[in-house]
Amino acid sequence: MGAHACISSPSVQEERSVETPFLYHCKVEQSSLVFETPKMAKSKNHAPKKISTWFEIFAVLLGSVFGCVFTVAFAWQLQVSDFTRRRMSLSSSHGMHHEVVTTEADKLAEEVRILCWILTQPKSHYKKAIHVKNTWGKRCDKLIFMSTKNDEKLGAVGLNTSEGYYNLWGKTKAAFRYVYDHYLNEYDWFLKADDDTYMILENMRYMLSSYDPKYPIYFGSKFRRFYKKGFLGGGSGYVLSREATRKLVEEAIPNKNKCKAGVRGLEDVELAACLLKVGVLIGDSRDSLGRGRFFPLGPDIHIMGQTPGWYKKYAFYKPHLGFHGCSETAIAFHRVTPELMYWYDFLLYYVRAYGVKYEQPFPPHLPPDRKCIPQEVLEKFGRTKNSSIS
Amino acid sequence: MVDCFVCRKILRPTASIRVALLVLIASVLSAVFTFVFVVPYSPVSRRMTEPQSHEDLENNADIPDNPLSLHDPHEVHHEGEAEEANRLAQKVRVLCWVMTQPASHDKKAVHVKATWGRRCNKLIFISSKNNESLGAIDVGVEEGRNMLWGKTKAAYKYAYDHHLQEYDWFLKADDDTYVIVENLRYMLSSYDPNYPIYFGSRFKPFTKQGYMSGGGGYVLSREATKKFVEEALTDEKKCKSSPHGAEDAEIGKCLEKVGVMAGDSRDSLGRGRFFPFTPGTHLMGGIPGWYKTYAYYSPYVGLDCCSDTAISFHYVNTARMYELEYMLYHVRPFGIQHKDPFPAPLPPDTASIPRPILEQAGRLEPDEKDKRPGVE
Repeated sequence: MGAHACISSPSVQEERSVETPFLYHCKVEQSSLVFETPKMAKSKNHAPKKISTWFEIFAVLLGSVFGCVFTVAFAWQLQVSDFTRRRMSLSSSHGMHHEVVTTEADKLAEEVRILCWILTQPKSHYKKAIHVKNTWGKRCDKLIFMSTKNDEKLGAVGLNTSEGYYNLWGKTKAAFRYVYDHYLNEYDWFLKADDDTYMILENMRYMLSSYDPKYPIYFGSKFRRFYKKGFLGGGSGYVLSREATRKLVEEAIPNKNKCKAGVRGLEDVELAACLLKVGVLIGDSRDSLGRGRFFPLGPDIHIMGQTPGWYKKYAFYKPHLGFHGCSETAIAFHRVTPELMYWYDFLLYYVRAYGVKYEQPFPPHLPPDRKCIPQEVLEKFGRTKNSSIS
Repeated sequence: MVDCFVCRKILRPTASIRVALLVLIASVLSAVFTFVFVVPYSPVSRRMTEPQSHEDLENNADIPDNPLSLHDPHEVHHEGEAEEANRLAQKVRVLCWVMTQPASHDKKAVHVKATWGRRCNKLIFISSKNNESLGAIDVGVEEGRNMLWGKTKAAYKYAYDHHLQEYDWFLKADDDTYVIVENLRYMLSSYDPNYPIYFGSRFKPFTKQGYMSGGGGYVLSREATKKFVEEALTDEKKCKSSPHGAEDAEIGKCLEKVGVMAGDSRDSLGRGRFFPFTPGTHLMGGIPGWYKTYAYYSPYVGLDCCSDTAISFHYVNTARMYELEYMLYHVRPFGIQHKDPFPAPLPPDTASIPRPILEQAGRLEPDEKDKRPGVE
């Protein structure tokens, strides 16, 4: 009876409590509903209270985690973009450079033309590739980034292949096919590197100047594993002569008996197999004192003699440790961060100790392993397999 | 109570609104906490992680037990390479004293000696324990970060007592500083050691003419060393007599009081040569804000920060020390020669160059006589 009276009253709507939508807070005094409503409302809230405490704790945790994760992600993005912005400005020239004389290096650059292709991927274009371009990459005669997305400003080519560590073999084949199709006769040597490899191009040319690009040969960091003649580790890069590139693309890759078909495979191991089958020689990339020039890790690790066990075990030529394993004409280091690339550039091309001359004999003395030197080179430099190292 | 919908919601929230509010407040609080203390981009946490202490530089496992042996200087690659550098070493004689402590003798001092230290005309390690083979001297000051001022005074007193007339310049460095000694001589060759002057990474505060940051190292002329020991150390009003204090600021104040000029250590293009931070920081930015306010000459960022004839880098751990040694003196790009002009061209701040030098270089205009020292 009273309920009817409540519903019909126009003031009922305003007094409706949200918590208890089904009960009306009636002003009708006789109605027991006036007293029942708050009581029932309270009792309704009592029961869920225990559950809601746990729920509240969970809510706090969820909120904290969310806040944390969001901040870290946001700040990391900021840091990355700030770093990129700052580093981009480093690419501008270092002002006057009139105290540097580069005639010998320039002369060699005209004679030994190198195309560098760098393995990268779209997400690393402006995190790693750009820093290669700003530092050592610009010293290549031609620099191409092999990726899966075109970027004309950077110089990246989008290959028709897929990303991923185990698909690198497919990418490598596609990259070599690309440079063969577009540039084979314009350059003498074709170099592959990763976007965390740092190379000293002048020393690369220095080493290669003894060899004829018409001879099928390739150089890098040599490991004794998988094949008797060894293979070259991909991380520190490798460089193929023009003839080796031609043989790879014309004779090896199309033939599935010579070269593993498909995209899956470890690029350095598969490449070694292919090149072996078409008669490409693996050169000795050490200097005349037996010191290495291609390093799978950073210079500090090699110099300190802290190379891991696998390096000492698998290096093709037993490595000297520490400084004695590292050449004056070193060429490549791996696992180099973008910051370190700028740092090494600064140390090698800008800072110098006053009054200390840096001279190397030219032509360079040959490396110790005569079996890995083409006969014509041995004859040209007046050394046969029997004579001693000077 | 104000009868407003929102207020009612907040003050007496329903369960779901309460939960939503909790999530929101928790995320905001944790975001702030994370940003301030955890995230490296934050200015607060950056200051905490920037190696201000020397102890957290090294991972002890990486330090070799013995100094590394380097390439033989008589190898074909190195024979005769340092003729000009050696000539200059005869003319500009530098005594280097390196701040160290007994615990670091075998961990740091030996590596300094194996790399750049041996290029000084004389190398002494200032410590609290003698070691003849290393060249460490016990100057009778106990160890501790707050005793560095006492140690610095003792070190210069020692150099004054034993070696004043044998050397022209007296350099102070830490055992995690790397110094390109040839470039130090190159810069100093323009100056006369009989003139009271000193060089380093110049900071503005505490003094009128500035002082040199201890981290990047500083070098005093023979006359400056003489004045420091004879006139400043003996006078309590000129030099703080207690062993506590920031050694670089204190020596800066003392030297100013006895008329030693604070030189401009930049090259002729205004690029710095002494670096108080990790090498990469100067080159690539990330220098703390306070440095920009402290620096006497406004610092460039990027390649223009740093001279081709750079002299010192700080916070260099053992691995980076050998790496610097390798990159500067061993591996080099083939076919690139440097022909730095000699004598070294003078820096831009003429107010920080002694008159006789300016006159000799023909850089003194008649109306520059009254120029006040100032910021370039």
